[in-house]
Amino acid sequence: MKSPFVVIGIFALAVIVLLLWTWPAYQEFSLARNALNAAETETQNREAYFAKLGSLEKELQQYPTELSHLDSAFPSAPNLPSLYDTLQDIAASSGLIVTAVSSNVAEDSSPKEVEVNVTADGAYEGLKEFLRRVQQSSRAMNVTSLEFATPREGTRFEFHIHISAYSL
Amino acid sequence: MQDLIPKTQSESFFTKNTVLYTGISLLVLSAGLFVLFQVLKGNTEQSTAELNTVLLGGKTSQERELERSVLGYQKRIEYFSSFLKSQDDTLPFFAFLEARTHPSVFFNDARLNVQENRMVLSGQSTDFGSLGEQIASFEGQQELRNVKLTDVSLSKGQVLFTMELTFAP
Repeated sequence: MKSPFVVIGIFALAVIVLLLWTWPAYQEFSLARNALNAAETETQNREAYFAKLGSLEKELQQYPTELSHLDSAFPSAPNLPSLYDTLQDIAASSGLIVTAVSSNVAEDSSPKEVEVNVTADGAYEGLKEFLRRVQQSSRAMNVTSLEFATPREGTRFEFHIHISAYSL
Repeated sequence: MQDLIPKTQSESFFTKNTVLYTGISLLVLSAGLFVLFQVLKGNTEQSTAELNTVLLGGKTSQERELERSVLGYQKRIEYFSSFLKSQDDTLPFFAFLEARTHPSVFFNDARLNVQENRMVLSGQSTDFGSLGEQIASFEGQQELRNVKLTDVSLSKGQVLFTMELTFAP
């Protein structure tokens, strides 16, 4: 048992186990630990992100009227029938009659821009009222250009009005 | 032959018990650490796999709805803020014309580009003098950046013209 060869053999075996098994096992464990740390960090970030969103949602809910205005100004979708209806209402209450309306949605813009072409008949004062009401509308709209000419007969003009409305 | 006085047998370095036990301890420790690291690695990999499953599973429908709602309002607030800054008021163009039009000048066609602050007006006047006065009246106004008469002609005793007004932003 106390033979020098036995002692040397035990030492050699210990070194071999240390270098060939234990050290690689430690390195593999370290790599696994790093992967776990990365996954834990990602999970914590994700939890923090949704916790922040949750607290923002609660904060937003304290302003229901303002949120409703924002929803009206920038609806989730272009919602053309509702937009046309709004414009027709504004025209009617301004004394104009909408005779034609068409639109084009620019999907790639942010916010999405809906270009609406409105043709309406009416008096000059009606046009001014229409422009005023469009500007005050709950839906975000901008008159980008307009054209009109003196009527050949009567006092009713034909207005061509180009309006930009928006959605998310 | 037997010594009269026996010599003490000195143990060599390799045969000392302490050296032997140290070697055995080192071997056992190495093996033990190997087993420990294997177990820890297994546990760590299992925990990582569980977290990755949650992460790769993506957002729940509740999380998606929360994100859509909050980010939607964030966008709306940004858009609304920039919309208010850039909203163009068309009425001042007409108020300006109503206040500055010469009594002998009649506009019969108007094209307004609000984004470019530009208005093209076609009309007629009774004489060249009135048209000149109209242009002079416009040119003196600080609301206008430029007045350009693009076309003038005489037809049936009336002066027909087209002018382009560029308003100051």
